[in-house]
Amino acid sequence: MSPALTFRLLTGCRQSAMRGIGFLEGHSELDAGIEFDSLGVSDERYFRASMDQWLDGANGPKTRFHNFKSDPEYRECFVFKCDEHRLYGFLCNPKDTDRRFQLCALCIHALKHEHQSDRAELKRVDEWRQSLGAQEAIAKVYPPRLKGRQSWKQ
Amino acid sequence: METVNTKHWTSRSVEDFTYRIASDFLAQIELHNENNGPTKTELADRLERTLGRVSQMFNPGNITLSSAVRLSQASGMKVALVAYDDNDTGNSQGPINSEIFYRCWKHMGSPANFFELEHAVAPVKNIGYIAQAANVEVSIATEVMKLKQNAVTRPTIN
Repeated sequence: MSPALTFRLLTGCRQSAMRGIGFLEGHSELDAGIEFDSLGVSDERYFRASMDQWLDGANGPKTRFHNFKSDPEYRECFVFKCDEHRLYGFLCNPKDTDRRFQLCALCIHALKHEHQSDRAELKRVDEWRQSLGAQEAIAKVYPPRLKGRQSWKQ
Repeated sequence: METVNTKHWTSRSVEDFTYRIASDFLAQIELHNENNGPTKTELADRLERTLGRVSQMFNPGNITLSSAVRLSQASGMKVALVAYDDNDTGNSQGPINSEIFYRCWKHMGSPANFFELEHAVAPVKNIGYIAQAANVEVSIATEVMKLKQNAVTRPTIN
């Protein structure tokens, strides 16, 4: 995994004190941000409206976004959906001053035509989630208060 | 470090703002139907439309006032257009989610008219938030007193 990853916060949406969204970037596999930036007007609006919904504290509708809490292997994974577009990422709690704060780090874009999510994509997202590069990139945006701390609560 | 100072995407155009509020409305219907409402097939039956046409109705770009009314009625709900002033004239923060208004209304006992609203009793634990949200300088002690008075005329909290 590349050590030079960056984390870019989503702009144009109201990041709240409780939730935030951004893109993990810096590797060819991490294409969620670049694909999001190149979406057509209608798809971009749909994603943004869904992201607003999640940032405001809603946990549905599941047709737009959902976690994978029922899957013990990929409990931290998350997906935003718009027609056949999928933006996969993971949830974490990067603020050591406020553990309730949830960050959705989007990683991978995919085109899906089946109802079920591809577990291969979830596996890739989970690998990125556990990578040191991702943890360091997010820690640059949400600096830990305690020195030497590089991981968030699992 | 994590602060992002950009205007909300819905400030780009009226079309963006319209899309977002249509999306909020449809999210309310979808959430309601996910939990205890009709399925898409049942909706299609009630609306006398094909499944494909019903799916199109759930595209925020397609919604009209009359289709919003039809959709909410078919889902066993009603719909209101709400104007509000949140001290954000430039829309740098984006719209307030319509579900927030709905939950506030439920929270206040679902008043059906201004008389009921006048006698609505807010749950005591949220007094501080209400005073903050209304941006008025009302001490908690005063509010508690008002609540007690209200409780005489309307003893139960819905």
